[in-house]
Amino acid sequence: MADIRSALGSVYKAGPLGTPRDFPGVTLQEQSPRNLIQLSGWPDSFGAICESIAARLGIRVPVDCLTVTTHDDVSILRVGPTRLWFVCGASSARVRAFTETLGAGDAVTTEIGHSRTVLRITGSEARTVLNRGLPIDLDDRAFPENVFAQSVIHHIPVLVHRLPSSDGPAFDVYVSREYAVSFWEWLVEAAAPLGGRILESA
Amino acid sequence: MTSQSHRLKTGGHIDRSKAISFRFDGRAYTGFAGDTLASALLANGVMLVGRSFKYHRPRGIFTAGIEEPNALVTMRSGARHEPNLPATKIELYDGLEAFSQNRWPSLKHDAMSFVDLFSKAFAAGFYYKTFIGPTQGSWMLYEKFIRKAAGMGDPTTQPDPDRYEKANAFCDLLVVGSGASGLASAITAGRAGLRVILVEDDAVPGGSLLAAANDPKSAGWLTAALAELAALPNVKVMTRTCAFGAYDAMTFALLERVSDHQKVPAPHQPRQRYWRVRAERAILATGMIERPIVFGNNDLPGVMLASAARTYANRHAVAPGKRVVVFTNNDTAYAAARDLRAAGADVAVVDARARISAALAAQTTAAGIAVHLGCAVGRANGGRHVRSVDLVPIDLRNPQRSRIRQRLACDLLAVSGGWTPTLQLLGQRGSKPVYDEKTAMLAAGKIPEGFDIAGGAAGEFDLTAKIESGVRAGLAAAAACDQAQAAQGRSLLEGLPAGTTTFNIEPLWLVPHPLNTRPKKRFVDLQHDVGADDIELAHREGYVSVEHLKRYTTLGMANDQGKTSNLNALGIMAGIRGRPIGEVGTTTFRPPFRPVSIGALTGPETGLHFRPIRRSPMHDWHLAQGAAITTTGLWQRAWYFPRPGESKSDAYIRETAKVRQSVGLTDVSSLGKIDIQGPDAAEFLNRVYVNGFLTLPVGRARYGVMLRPDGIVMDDGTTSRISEHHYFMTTTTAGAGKVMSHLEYLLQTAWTDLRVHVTSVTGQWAGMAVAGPRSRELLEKVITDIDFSDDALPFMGVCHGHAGDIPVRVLRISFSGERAYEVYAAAGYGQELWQRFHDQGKSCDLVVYGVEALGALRIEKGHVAGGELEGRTTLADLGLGKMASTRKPFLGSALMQRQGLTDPLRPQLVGLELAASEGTLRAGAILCDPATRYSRSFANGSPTLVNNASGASARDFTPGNGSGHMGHGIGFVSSVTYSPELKRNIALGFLSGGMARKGEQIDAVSPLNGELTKVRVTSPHFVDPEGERLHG
Repeated sequence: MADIRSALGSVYKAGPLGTPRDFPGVTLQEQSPRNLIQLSGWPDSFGAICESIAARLGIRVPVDCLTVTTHDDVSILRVGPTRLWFVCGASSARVRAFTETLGAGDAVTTEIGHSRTVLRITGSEARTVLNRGLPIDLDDRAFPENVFAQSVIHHIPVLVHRLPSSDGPAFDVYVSREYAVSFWEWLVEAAAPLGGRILESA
Repeated sequence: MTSQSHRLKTGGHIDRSKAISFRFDGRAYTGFAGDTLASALLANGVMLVGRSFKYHRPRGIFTAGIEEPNALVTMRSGARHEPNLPATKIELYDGLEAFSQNRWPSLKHDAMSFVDLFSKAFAAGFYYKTFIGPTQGSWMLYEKFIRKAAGMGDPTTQPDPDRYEKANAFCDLLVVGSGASGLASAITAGRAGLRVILVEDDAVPGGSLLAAANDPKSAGWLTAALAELAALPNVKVMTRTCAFGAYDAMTFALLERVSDHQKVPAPHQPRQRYWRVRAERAILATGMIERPIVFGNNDLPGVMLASAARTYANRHAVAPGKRVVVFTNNDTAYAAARDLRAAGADVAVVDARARISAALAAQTTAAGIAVHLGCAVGRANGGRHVRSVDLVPIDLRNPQRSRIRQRLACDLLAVSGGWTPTLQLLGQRGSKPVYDEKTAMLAAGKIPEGFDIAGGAAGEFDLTAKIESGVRAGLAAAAACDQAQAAQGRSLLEGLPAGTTTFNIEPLWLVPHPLNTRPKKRFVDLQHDVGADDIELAHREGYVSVEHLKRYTTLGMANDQGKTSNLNALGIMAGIRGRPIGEVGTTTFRPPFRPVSIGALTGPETGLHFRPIRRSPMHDWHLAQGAAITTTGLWQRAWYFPRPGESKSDAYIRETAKVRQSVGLTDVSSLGKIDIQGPDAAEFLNRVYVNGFLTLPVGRARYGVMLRPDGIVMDDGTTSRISEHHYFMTTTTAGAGKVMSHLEYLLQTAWTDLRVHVTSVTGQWAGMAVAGPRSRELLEKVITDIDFSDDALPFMGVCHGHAGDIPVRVLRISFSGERAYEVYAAAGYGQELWQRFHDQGKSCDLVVYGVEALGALRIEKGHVAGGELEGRTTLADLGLGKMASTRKPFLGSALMQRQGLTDPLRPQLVGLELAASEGTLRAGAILCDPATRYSRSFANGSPTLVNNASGASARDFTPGNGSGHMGHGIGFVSSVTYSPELKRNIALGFLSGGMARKGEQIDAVSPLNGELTKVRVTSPHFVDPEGERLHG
């Protein structure tokens, strides 16, 4: 299979970022392409679909919208009352095999992995840099781990997922691919005053 | 360089170890860290700092804060040149460069100061009265002179070199103001565990505590409070930050002046940051602003507020005067008098009240200060600086003109007419302040839900009372945020003596002119040169409402927003009308509380980032090939691919011709792409599109048009049936978002019974069109597992296959009229697939083409696009009326039958071409009937315009910029191009009568360009009208 070309190929450059500081303010890293499968169902049968997912894939579907459950290399983001995103690593084949067993009357699936660029933001100033554009309260009480929000930064639609982390706040930001360069330029400029580092793509 | 002649030897919150050099009007001075530009100028004995807005009168420093009306200066030079900044809010930094304004050739000798002699001619309403009637036209002549003569500083026209940021913040409690009450609120709420943001406009917290005499107890209290705040991790203190707006849902706008105290911002740092804060609660501990009393010559340099004089003496260790007169009508100014006396000045108090308390009198006398009771300053005297004041006796119950009783020599007149709580943020939320007769204040009215006030803003004067009110508000906020169990801490009143501050005001707004003297100007709004006479004039002319008074006189409209003038104006108007102030009303407060730079509001959204940019997966390839890029909505698209030496026209004409001769490749990734799935998807599409979709077989695509509910065409595109319940819709680039929202809206509101899901997959798929007679040949080279024969993949056929290892979706559809295919691959493979087409295309004479050629090809073919689908056209207008199914209803089918939309005279799609060998076709040109053109006639010896058809004449107008046409015409030109196939300019347009006028000659008028071009009506299908090439 041909390599998947990063949307940031022409602008992504690992190295120090902005104002030198004694401690890293912000660390930015593009994540490897994700298998991202959207599953959409209907209210009358979605409960059964969720049970089936738990039974067949061994992952509990998040009860609440805008929350995440993870098992092995599969995370489920509940992006709507009857809509899920499966974010998968090597287990994507297992997820696809499951979705292929579903009839259109039960649920429909759409591959959207190529439509998103995923950027990981960590560091003591991760919240600060995100809040330069994101109008969402990222405090622990309001935005704990495994919660996500869909909003806009610099007029660009984003999904921001707070990752479980024992090493300070960490976020994955899903950006529509066609906006990725524009978002990256905004992010680097916003992060520069805080200082930090751009890591090699994962 | 001058010495700091007015600097006190000791005291002040300044760092004497850090001397700072600066320049004002080119002259070098020094100050200390902790100075403002105003305090540093005063320390150097500079009293004259500007000229007034209208009359060019000399002006000095009037306040020590954000309310400053006089001392506006221009800061910096070159691209960072910024006018109209109050010197009182500019922190001194090394190398600071400031300039006075509104003067020429110099501040001291201003040539325009003669205007003051004719001030009666320029009273309120001058413009309205002068430039009306026969002299109305003279405004055009005088405007530039008037604008030059009056005004403030000039902005730079150079691009701003600094960067600005936007930021969001969230908290349980926002405390505005860091005086004693604000600090007490923040500490109390912080102890209770609330997330607190404390904002302070000043560079350091402390508020009016910094201006008080160096009392060890209050200073110690401040030090301890700041230390406790610093130790509370849940409290964030933001200095140099002004809360300038309060909006719905407890949202506040803040301006943080990140780098304004430096010569240039540090690397990567913004100059300013615009914050949007969402808070659960807010406490306004915004203090009070002292107001002056209005009397003759009250604008002379050396006249300043008593609180300002006190601030300069105590905080900045500056003696703003050596012989001081304090003019007041309340007790608070006596503290300023004592502090100035302690600083070494000779001080006298002129008190308009007939009596003061014995304690106050004793305290004042003991300090060596003479007190003149029952007197007012009738006028100040001096040229560019106050030299003396004339005292007149006054009865505050009935102020009348009286003779001058005494003259006091002075070099500083400190005035206090009372205080006004700073309640603008409450006012912005619709809470009108109410006048309190006892304190002569505009006090808070109904306090909106979520807000509280404390300290001076709540009318408190005494330190302990301020702290108590701050604690109370902090506890209330904690309780409201479900933190009722407030954490314990030391009492914030610990060690402080009981309060003894008194106020005892007796209102005085305006001192009558002294008898037997020439009246001097008495200014109410110093910044806009609005005087008491202007208010009296407004009253005489009927502008008695406060809102009308403001607009007629411009009182309170400058960048200080009348912070020192509004209440005095109300008091004076109330006096003239003989009504209580409470009945006269107050003006409306609107954001911003202080001027905010456009740069801060804009933030990083400038230049290419004015709006985000969308890029195709092949964008980098296009750039590498030297493509010219054009903007289509938010998309950056390849416009044309010039060869060396080619112009845009050369390039796109070559590209267009080559597509028709061999094969072309173009990027169509920006087309909207929507995945539609579900058991009811066919029914859904059948309702949305005007044509039938129930019978579309799997593996086939269909062109569809959808209408808005009002019957106007919304968008068009093709939809492919991928499997029984799975469709792939494409939309126009511009219509993608609109269509996606439309479909979701319908599914979530109108047709909730349909089991259909729609998902935007625009970013998921890279799209490329392969068009031309050799397109099939090229596809067969790149995609080897699809049978491209006409039988296997007919026109409008859809199939899936692989380009090597890349999965692809192929649609046989055409926008150019040639045999063509659209090929889609997952976006991450887009550039690789494109490269493979490009490599294999070399043997097929492939040309890569951009949107200019794409447009030329579709115009030649007569296909409609953005120029035609522009929100006003119907199916019939577009010549697509027959597409509408008569066997089913569809969205818009009812309202498309409206009388106005079925009018046979509506302009309909036609082709247009030049009638002569020369002329210019322009999109947007208005189509006009030559028979209705006017021509010039000299029949009666003078030029007259005569209608060619009716013979009617018209005068006094120049129709169509000289074209001879007037009105809206009979249609318009929507798209134009040069056709390489026909080797002439062609166009699409809409013409009343449509194709029934084929062959007629029409006028195409472009009034903006002053052009009239003769065009001939033709078929919109210029090339291959039979559609044979689709199968070629």
